[in-house]
Amino acid sequence: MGGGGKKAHESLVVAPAAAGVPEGLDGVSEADLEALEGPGAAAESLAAYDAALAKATAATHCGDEPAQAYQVVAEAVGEAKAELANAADAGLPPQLVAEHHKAISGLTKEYLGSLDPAELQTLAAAQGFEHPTLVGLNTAAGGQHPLVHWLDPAYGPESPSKLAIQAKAAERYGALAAGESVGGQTLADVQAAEAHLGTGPPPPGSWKASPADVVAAQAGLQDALVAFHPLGPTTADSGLGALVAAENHLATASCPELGDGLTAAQGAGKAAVDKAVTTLTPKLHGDVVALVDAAHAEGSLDTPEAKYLSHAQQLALLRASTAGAEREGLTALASERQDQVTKLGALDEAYQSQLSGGHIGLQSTAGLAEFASTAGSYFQARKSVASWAATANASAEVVALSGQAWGQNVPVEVLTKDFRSWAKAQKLTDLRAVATSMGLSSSPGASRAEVQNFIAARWDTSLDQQKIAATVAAKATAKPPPPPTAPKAAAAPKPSAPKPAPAPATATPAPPPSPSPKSFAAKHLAIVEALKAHQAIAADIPARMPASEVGSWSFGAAKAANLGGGHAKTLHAAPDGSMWMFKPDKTGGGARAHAEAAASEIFSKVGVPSVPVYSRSIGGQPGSIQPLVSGATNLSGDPKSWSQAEVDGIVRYHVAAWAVGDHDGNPQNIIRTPSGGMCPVDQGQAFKFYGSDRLDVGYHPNSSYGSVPVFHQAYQAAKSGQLAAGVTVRPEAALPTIKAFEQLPDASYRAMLGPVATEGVARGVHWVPAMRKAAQKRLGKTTVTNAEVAEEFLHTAVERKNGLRASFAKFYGGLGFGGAAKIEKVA
Amino acid sequence: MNRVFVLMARDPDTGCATAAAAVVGIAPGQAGCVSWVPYQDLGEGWRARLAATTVSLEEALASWAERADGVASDVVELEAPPSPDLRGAVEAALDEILAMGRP
Repeated sequence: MGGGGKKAHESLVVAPAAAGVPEGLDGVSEADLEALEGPGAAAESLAAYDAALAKATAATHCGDEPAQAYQVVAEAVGEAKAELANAADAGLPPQLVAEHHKAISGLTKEYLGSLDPAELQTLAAAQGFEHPTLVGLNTAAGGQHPLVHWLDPAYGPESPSKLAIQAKAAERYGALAAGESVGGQTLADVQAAEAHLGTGPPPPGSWKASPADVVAAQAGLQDALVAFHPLGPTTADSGLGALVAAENHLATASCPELGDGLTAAQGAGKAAVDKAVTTLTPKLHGDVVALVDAAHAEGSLDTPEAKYLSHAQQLALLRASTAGAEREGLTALASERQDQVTKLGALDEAYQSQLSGGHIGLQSTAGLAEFASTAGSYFQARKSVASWAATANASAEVVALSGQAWGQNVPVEVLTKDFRSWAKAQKLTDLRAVATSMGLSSSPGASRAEVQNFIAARWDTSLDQQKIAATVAAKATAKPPPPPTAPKAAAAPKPSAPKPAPAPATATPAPPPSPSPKSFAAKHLAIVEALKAHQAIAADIPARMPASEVGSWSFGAAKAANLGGGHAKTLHAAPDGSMWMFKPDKTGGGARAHAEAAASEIFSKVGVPSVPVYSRSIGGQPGSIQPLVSGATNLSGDPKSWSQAEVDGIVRYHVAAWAVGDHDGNPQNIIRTPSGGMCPVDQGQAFKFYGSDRLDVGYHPNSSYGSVPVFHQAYQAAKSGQLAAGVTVRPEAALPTIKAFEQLPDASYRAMLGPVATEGVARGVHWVPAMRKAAQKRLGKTTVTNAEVAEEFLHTAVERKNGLRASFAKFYGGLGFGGAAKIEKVA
Repeated sequence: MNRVFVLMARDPDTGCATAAAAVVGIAPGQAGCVSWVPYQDLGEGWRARLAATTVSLEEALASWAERADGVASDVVELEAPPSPDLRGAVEAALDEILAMGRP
């Protein structure tokens, strides 16, 4: 065994044995460990990684000036990251890559966290950060300063969270320049505080200006702001091009005579433009595209910037007022994304070449391990690209390669199914041999299903390779399986080469400093980690089960403290291991939960996809509970991006939403599911406005709060030509849903809504006064009992259900949509 | 007295409203203020919602909080960081989010 082997093994020894395997990563197998014991590229790279990290560790303890120490730490961390990447390329298992990266970030976080704000600001300014005194305002005791993250060399400059920190500092400077104060500070305060930090480089394209030129540039910007119209038809010019040009003219002016007055004028200009473009409307998206095309043609944006960044990121690059460090980060991000696309393209080719007619093309199990590895790498790369593909300017091109973020599991499931079918024709002994070569120990005792699943888990993250290996091992030994890394971790470490540093980083990876447990950051971390670590979040909308079954389940203790929020929520594991969210219904005393659960059940009955919601009590508190679905994204707020299938889905959703009186279906409340469907996720306002609502395109009771239902947006977009070419509102799309409602027996419908009616009346919810009035009118009485009000609610619901066909025929006819007549004619 | 809220958007990775989009502050007798998490694509829905809001931020926050389901969106009230002004409290709260390194 060479020196590299010793180093690699040493790293394994110190890997935290108790740590869970991060989601999506494979467990470390015996074969992995054995492979690293011998000399090889991975072991050599890990040895170099150890040395680099030891150098970084030594620098953090050397007592040098922060600037010198930081320089050494940053360089050494860069080397360690590069060696870790080499080791990963050479086959270091992902779990170990993650653990080693954790060791790097633990070290850097601890080191930077030990510096005081003034030191962080000086370091950041030296690294090109503009206005470092404007972040980390009142960092609480035990809290982390944002510059700790911005300076962290464990993460690249392209990290969106680093870009956000610089962007926020620049934005605050602009606000101060515009005469605002932030935390009691004025522009003069900040200029004084930063006088010793020096100024950043001038923006590209600086020009020599006289004071009069600057005044003229300010006036030009003012004119452009007045002429700027981000709303309205996408065919009309918003004036964005003129606005950016005017801002750039001012931002690039160089006028030493004006001194700080110039930076104040430029900052104020930036603040005004920031405010004007806060919300990228559909019209602005289109105008950014035009500006990007022009900038690309003239060479001021390169191809990765023009293709792979989002419109918000591109707009930042087009604006000369964007801080230099932010600009560099955006350029790095574009380049990184281009590399991801290139890698995915190569993997796509390699993966497709292994298929024959869309199916696994292998004649035997020879080459199966390589096939599985390629498929795993391909789907992982695909998922990475898909996470940003839809927001990229060249989204059509990138999505064609990566697929949509919400559709990642579909080809994976197809491959797994195909593999199972193909594997049936293979000998079990051959499959076992492949599984053994892929790290399944005790494979002779593994069943065919276990072996197949173990192999498929290399690409299909819904299968837990580690769990399968543990089950197989347990069968073999009839004892509980040990933790995956425990055997090696417990082994005596082999002698290691002398280290150049007193405290080798890999031997004692510094745990990242924990935020104060009461802070938002700590609570957020707990929730996100509970969710991400949990392997059983549904990958698509789960089928609705009978409420009685869910009612009988015993949900585990809350997995994480809730963040707070409008309704305190907790996460619970169901008996089948899936993750559910419970929302206590404090204000409605259970009435709201019943309404949401009933709406969800009705949606399910009429074929409109929805996340199943059930009324439940947990810990004596009434509320609602629902399974969580990962991998889904929100419906875009831009009607132009909606497909015909989505608009048809919106039409069907409208029928169901009207039936249950839900007027809160804005795009934020609609998700695109992993399998590509569209699904409303929040019927918390179901029935709220019953009795006082109208089926009217102008009726949206939440519009004052910025919430217009997605169906009304679709109708308005259709009328004003804002849907994509060829996409229309087809009233006949509503027919299947209307028919499904008509087929629901009245008695069943009343039974579903019974608890909504009785609990609603008992709790005096929002719809009760309207229903009381309606009952009085219908029954011809001046006073009615609660039972009569509840009955009126049920009567209204059934009447509405049975009148959907006539109501929607009239509604669509009134809007002038072709096809409205079909609703009444087609059975 | 300053009150500070985080507007949360749905994160596809968690299936819940765990992505911080913005911090909003309100105080009696003052216009509210909003500070957005830069480059947070998941916050577009909140931006559109805020842009279309016609009532006071205080009234809108009450409605959003009442309607937030924790899955599609959420509104989380924080203890307002000490600051001489509302804007400072909002920005200090946003700093806590930025410092997490994973907005």
